[in-house]
Amino acid sequence: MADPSPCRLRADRVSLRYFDGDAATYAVHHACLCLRPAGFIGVIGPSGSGKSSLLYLLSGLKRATEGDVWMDAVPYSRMDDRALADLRRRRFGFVFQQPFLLSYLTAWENVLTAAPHGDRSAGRRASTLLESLGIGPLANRHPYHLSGGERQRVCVARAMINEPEVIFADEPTAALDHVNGHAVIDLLASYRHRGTVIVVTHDAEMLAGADRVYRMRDGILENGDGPANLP
Amino acid sequence: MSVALVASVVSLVDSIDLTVLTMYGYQRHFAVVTPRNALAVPEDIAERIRSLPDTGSVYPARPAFTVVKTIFGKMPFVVFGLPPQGRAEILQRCGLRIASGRLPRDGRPEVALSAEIARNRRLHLGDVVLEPNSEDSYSLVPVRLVGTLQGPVWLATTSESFVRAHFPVAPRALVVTSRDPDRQGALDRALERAVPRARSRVWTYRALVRDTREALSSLYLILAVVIAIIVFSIAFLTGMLANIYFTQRLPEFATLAAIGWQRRALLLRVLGETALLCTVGWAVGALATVGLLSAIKSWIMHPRGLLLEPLDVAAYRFTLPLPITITLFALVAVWLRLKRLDPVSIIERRQ
Repeated sequence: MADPSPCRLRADRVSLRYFDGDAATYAVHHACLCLRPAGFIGVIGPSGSGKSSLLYLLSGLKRATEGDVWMDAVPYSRMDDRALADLRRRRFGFVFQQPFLLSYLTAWENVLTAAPHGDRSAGRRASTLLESLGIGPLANRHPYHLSGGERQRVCVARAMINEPEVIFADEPTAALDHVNGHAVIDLLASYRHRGTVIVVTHDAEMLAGADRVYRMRDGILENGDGPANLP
Repeated sequence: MSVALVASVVSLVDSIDLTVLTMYGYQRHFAVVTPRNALAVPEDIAERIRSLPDTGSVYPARPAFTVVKTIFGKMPFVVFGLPPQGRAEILQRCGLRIASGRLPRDGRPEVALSAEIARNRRLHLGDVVLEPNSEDSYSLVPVRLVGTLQGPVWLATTSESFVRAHFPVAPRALVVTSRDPDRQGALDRALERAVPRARSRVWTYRALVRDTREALSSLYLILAVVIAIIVFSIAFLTGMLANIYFTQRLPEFATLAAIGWQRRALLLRVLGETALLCTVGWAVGALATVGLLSAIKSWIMHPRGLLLEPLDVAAYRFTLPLPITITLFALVAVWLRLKRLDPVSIIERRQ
């Protein structure tokens, strides 16, 4: 029986093609996806399989060379760079492999960089988030005074500050030890009821609690939602 | 550093203007009419001067000459040989009082100088100011310093009778003051109209300013070109440095762009940072320059009687293009960087 909930994020035969001289190489080839408004989604695959490229396409960080991506039925191909940036700012959250925190800002200030309006309520939200992620006492520390796990938690807080509809996490545990890696995944997974969390990783263990896991190999989404299945 | 460089150069060049206008600033308070091809201002011209409505007093004056050291060399300075009554009025009009010693006695080889001139020439009471063997401060007999004057203008004076007796070819000029001190400018203009140039010359403050500015105009033009080159070079170098600095911060910009910051917002952030840095840098540079020039003035210039204005507004105005140009250069450099910025290419460098 078909799932009645609509796709929040939909990729229809989306591709990302690079040219190496005259030869075309597909980082992602004709991927089809339908991501519903909530859930913890995993994308797994070996290094170089194109899973990060798929995430860049879905988040609007890269433009598709073929096919298209829709966010609530609006195709990215109809959005200019400003609109895509606005989409990322207001409706998406990001966690990257490296924390990429601004070294001259405190943890709390770093969280606020993702808030469209750095007003008092955003400040309160940032404090609450840092508390809930277990790093409240470290809010006034600069990134160079934080451990790798603590930095990545700050990134998770930054990704959540806008209460986004989708959080994209690209290998968020790759630079962390096992314990910290699981802690970060648990934090991300806890968001599954408020929005969609897409975690790209090569570590299957991290996706043990995922609602659905897509597998990628050589740019092909092996168990994608075929075009015929897209709502 | 660049602010200090530009402001110091301009202040030093401006000190030429300042020196000339200060040295000869006594002309604000009286005009001098000298004869041409004659040893005395013709009587008909003197009569015409006396009849001008703004004319107050007209005194005979005979000049001797000495020199004042300036940063651009020795400048001639008139020692006014004046009758006692005229000297009293001129000193009063110029706001000068005796700081030490006394005024020269009538017919005696004595001179009174402003304290600044005495300091400039390193002269003390009793020292010889004019002498037979001097090339630039000549007199038939040694003339000694008997008094120093204190006040807003520089002046050197001796008695008219002494100059008449010992400088046989010194022309008989006229010193002309206005009835109302505030009308000296109007009198100067009237004198320039009334006195025929072929027979006499009128020396006024207005003409002094005009002649000084004309003489320095080429120098200022050269200065403007030099400063433009300095500003461009510094701005270019700083722009390049800004480029290197912002290259190091590309991960930061890539992250912010990835999480949805508009390029315009990033550019505004850079503009804000650069403008703030340049403004603070300019202010620190300006303060350092004031300190530096004040030290130069106190330790080098003032003891030698040389003029320098550490708070020369014009000099600091010349430095204003520096922060503006640096900000623009940095902004263009960063704009070009941001235009080509692909956040993914930075984020994917998983160092």
